[in-house]
Amino acid sequence: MLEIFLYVIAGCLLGVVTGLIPGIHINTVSAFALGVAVFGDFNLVILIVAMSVVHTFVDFVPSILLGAPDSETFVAVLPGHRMINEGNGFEAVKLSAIGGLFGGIFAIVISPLFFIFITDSIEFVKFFIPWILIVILGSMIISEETFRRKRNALLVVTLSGILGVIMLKGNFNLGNALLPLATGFFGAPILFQSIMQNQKFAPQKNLKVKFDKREVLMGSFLGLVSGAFVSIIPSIGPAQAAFVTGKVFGNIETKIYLVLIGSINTVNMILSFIVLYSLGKTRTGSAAAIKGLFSLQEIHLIFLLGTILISLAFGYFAVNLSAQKLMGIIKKINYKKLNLSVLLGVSLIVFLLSGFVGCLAYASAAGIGIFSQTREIRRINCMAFLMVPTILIYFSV
Amino acid sequence: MLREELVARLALSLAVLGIVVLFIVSYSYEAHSLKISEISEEIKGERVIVCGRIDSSYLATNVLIFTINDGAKIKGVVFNPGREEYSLIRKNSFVEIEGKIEIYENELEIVAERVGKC
Repeated sequence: MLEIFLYVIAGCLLGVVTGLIPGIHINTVSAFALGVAVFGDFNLVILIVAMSVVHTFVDFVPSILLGAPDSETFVAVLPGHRMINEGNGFEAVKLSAIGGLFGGIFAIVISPLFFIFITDSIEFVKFFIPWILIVILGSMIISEETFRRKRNALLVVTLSGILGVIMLKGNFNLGNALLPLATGFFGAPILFQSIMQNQKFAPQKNLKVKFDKREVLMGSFLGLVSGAFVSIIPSIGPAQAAFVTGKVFGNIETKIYLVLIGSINTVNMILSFIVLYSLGKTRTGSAAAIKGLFSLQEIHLIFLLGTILISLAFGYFAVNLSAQKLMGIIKKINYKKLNLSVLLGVSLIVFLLSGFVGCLAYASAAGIGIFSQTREIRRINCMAFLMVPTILIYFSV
Repeated sequence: MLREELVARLALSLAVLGIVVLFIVSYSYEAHSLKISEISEEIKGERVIVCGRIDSSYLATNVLIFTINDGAKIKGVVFNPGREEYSLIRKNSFVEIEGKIEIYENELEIVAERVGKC
């Protein structure tokens, strides 16, 4: 028992490390664990579960505070950056964490129902996805204000879509093609703009955040629904689900949106373990690693439940602590130099993990992101890089 | 204002140039025809084209699983198969499969992206 507990703590600490360093993904650590482990090692399953759950909390810290996202959290960069400029950076991070905490608890509560539901619903839900995405793509362009902006939005959607298709459906074999695209579209332009405009790190208001019950419950609930959706349907990620939810439910307030994104990530991770247990399907890298390591039986679920509960609490407090520390560091150093270092660091990570092709995709995506930023059209139009390939997958093109 | 205009134009040019180069480079990553006996773990992740007879096929939840034989055998899968794939991948029919080589449960398999006649 003590051994299992030590593995839970080790997993939680590893989750903090993978979450805080942009580019180091849990999938990388899981794949490494899979490579060195012997089949049947349940302790490693516990480690991966703890690491994965904590990671879904902590990876928002660099995404929001540094503008250095990964493939799951990039939708948090824009609202997070807005709140940083208003002096509410810590609140932005905490909103994503409270979303993760409540979403995680909700996911555990609904997991028996989810278990019963999943086998029957897949076909029905899948039919509507490409049509919903097409309508959303069209509405993204039409909803821009002037003709000039509509035209530029169409250009951004087209270029993003082409880039997404080349990278995600083309001949390349990149381990993580989403990393260069996500950081290029959403991270690099913000860092570039901060550097060009010599932005200062706005003085942050006090670190005592009071949550609004309505915002937390609404965001967590929407995150639960979206996260469940993501864990059932292949090829839809948390970022797409957050975007679709945002569109379906209209203009979601920034704070609720951050709770929602935090909730989706954690819910998706937890429910992917249920999908693995019930259908044997893998919807996350962590679930795939567990499948390669161990054959889960009913008796193991109680251990997984305990691990998830500890990890949820650990993740929430780890976000508080790491965000406070990071903000303390950011305050003391030159913000322009910090942004420049992060931009160079992220570019280096893209090069190391994705090579020349990844760098080319990163530069193209950054070009599209910077273009939409300078033309003052919504950067969410760049989401076409995920939506167009997804639509093609569902139409079997 | 002029600087913004210049940045926008440069960014757009960079994006278009990058996409064009990626498009051209992607051709060098095109699938190549192989005998099944030539497929090994070393080419995991690469895209190949194989041609052979379907030994067996069955449908799991949204996945068509088959075995193709050209003297050697390899397992293959089609995710979300359409009508065309169903009609082509039948026992004893000859098909051309283009797809990525992956390892699933310690076994080589081809994840089909295109199915046609040999």
